Amino acid sequence: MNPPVGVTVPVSVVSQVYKYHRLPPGLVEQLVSIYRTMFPHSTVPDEFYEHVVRKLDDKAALDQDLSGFLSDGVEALNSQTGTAWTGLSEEARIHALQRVEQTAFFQRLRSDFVLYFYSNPAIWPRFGYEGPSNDQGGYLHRGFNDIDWIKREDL
Amino acid sequence: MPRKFDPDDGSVVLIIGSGAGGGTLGNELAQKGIRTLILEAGPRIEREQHVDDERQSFAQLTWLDKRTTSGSWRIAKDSPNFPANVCKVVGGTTVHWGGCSLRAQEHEFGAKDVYGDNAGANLSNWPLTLAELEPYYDKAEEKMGVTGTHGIPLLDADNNQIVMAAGAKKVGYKECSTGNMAINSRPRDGRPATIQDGFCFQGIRSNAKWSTLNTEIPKGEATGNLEVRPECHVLKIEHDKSAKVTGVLYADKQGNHYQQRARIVCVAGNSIETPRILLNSASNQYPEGLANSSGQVGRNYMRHMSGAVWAVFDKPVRMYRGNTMAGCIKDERYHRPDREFVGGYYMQTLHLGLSFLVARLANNLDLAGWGREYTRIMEAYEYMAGMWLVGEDMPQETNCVTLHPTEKDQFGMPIPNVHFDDHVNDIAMRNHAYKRGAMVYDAVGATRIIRTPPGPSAHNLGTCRQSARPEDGVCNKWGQTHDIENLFISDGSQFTTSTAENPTLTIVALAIRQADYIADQMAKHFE
Repeated sequence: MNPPVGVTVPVSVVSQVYKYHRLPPGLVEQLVSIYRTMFPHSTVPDEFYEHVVRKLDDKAALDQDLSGFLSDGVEALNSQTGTAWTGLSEEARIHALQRVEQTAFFQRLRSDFVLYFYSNPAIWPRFGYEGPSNDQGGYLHRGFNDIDWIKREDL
Repeated sequence: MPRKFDPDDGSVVLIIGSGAGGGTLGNELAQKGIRTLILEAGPRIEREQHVDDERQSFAQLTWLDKRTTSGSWRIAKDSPNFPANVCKVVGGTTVHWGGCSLRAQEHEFGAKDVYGDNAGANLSNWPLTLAELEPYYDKAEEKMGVTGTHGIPLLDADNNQIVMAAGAKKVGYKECSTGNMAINSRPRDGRPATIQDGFCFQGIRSNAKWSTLNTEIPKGEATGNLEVRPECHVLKIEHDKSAKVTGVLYADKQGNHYQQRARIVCVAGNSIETPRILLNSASNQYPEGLANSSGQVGRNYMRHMSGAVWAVFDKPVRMYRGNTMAGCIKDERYHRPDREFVGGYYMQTLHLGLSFLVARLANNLDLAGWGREYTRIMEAYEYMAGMWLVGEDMPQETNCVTLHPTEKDQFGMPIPNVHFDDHVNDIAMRNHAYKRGAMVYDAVGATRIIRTPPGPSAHNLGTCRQSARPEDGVCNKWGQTHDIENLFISDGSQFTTSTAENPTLTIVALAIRQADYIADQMAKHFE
C-alpha cells in the first residue's frame, strides 16, 4: 500500500485519527519534525516519519520511562536553543542537534529511526529497492545483469 | 527414517552443533554406518519458512543470546552485546552464508615459519599441510558443488560483480570472477540452479545454495543412523575418572535438564560456544575446563581482517539483484614481503537491502551517520555497488572467549565474553584493502566512496586450535583433543590460523577428514 508519490505534507500536520498510547500530540509533532531534520528526504511525506514515532510510542506503552525520556530530551533540546523549535531555521535546527549528538536521547532517536524507517516495505519503492524476489522467480529474468553502462568487452 | 536414540545409549557419537562442521560430520559418520546424534541449540526451520526480508530473517535465524565484549575493537562500542553474527538453527550458519568456498593456500599452513615473529601475535604452524588436506578439499568441493571446480561452471555475473570486474580490469587485476561458490550454476544433486534471488544471507529458500540443512542433514537422516535433536542447549560435557568423556548435560527450551550418554563427543558450536562449553565443563579433575591443560581453550580468537567499501555512481547499478557475494578478486591473497603486512586478503562483492545498508552505513569512516549528506547517499541506493574485504588476521593469546564472572543465560550457564584487540598487522592490511577497493571503483567512475568498519563477526575462528605440541594448542591435526582421546573439536575453532579464505570449505574438508579418522579409531580402539 504505497502512498501517492510526491505528496508534500506540511511539517506541523500529523495524523489526527491515530490513537497514541503514551506520547502527547505536541511531542509527536516535534519528534516528527526533529526526524525530518536528522534524516531529510524531501519527497517522503510525514506519515513515514510518523511511522517511526508510532513505533517509539508502542515501546513507550511497555516501558514507562520512555515517554519521560523522550519529553526530557526534547525539552533539553528546546531549552538550549532559547527559541521554539518551530521558529528555528533549518540551519539552526541542525546546529542544535549537533550539540546533543552524543546524548543518549539523540542516539536513541537515531537508532530507532534506522531500525524502523528503512525496513518499512512501503518505503522501498521510493529508494528503488525491489525487496522480496523468490516468489517471483528471483531476479534471474528481472534484470540481475541488466547494467548497460559497462561495456561487456571491458570485463 | 531418522533415528531416535535413548538417553542412556552410550554407543552413539554425539555432535554438538549442526552447521558446516557438525552437520557435515554427522552425515559422514551416518553414511559409514555409525550411530550419530546431533544436539542443536536452535530450532529446525525448513527452507520454505525462510523469509526474503532482512529484519524478519535476522529475527528468525540469528543467535541472539546475550554476549558481552571487552577490548579496544570497535565492536565493543558499536554492538557490545552482539559480537558475532551467526545462526541458532538446525544447519547453523550455513543457513546464512554467501557461499564463497576457497581453499587455503600452502603458505598459510606454515604461518609461523613464513611470517616470522610478528609482535604480539601467537603464531603457530598448522600440524597439517595443504597436501594432506587436498584430497578432502576435493571431496568437499564435490559435496558442495563449488563452481569453478571439478568442471562445474561459474555463476553468471550480476550487476554488482560487473561493476567490480570492470574496475578490477582497469586497475590491472588478473584474477577476478564470480568466484568459487557453493551455489548451483546448473541443477545438481537434486537442487536447482540459482535464480539470482539476492537473499543468500536470508536462508536457502531457492534451494540453490549448499547448506547442511538441505543436504547433509536429510542425507544423514535417510541412512537411519542419524538423529538431529533441535532446541537442545548443551551446558556441560561430562567425564569419568579415566580421562574419557561420557556424555553431556543439556537443557531443552523449557529449561528442563537431560543427560545424554555417548562414546565420543564432537564439539561444533562455532568458535564462541565451543570454548564456552569446554570452559563450563570444569570439574575437580579439570578445574580449568575440559581439554585445557595448555590454557589455550578460548584463546587466539580470530575474526578475519574485514571491512567494506561502498561506491556511488551516477548511473544505476541495482546491486541487490543477484547472488549476494558472487564476485571475487583474488590478486591480493598472496603473502608479499614487500607490503607493510603479512598474509593476504580478498575483495568480494557484497550487497545489502536498503534496511541493512542504512544500518551498516550508520557506522562508517567517511561521514556522519545522519543529516543531509547521509540521506543523499541513501537516496542513491540504486546507484551503489559494494564489496567486502576479507583477509588473514593474527592470532593473539589475549584475544579470548571467557565465561562471564556473574551474568548467566536463561539456563543458568555463564554467558561468554569476547575480548579482542586489533593487531597492528590487521590494521595495516585493512588500510591497504580500503585503498585498493576504492581504486577499483574509482577506475569505473565512482562519485563517492564510503568505507565501513568490521561488523559483528561472521567468521569466528581459532579458540581451540590445532597444534603439533599439546602445550601450544587444544587439539591435534584430526581435531582430537590432546587431553581427552574421545573428545573432538569439529568446527572453525580448530583453525591454527585464520587463513585469508572464507572458512566454510576448510571446515567441511576437516569434518570429512575427521569422520574418516573417527571411523578408523573406533574400529581400532573404541570397540
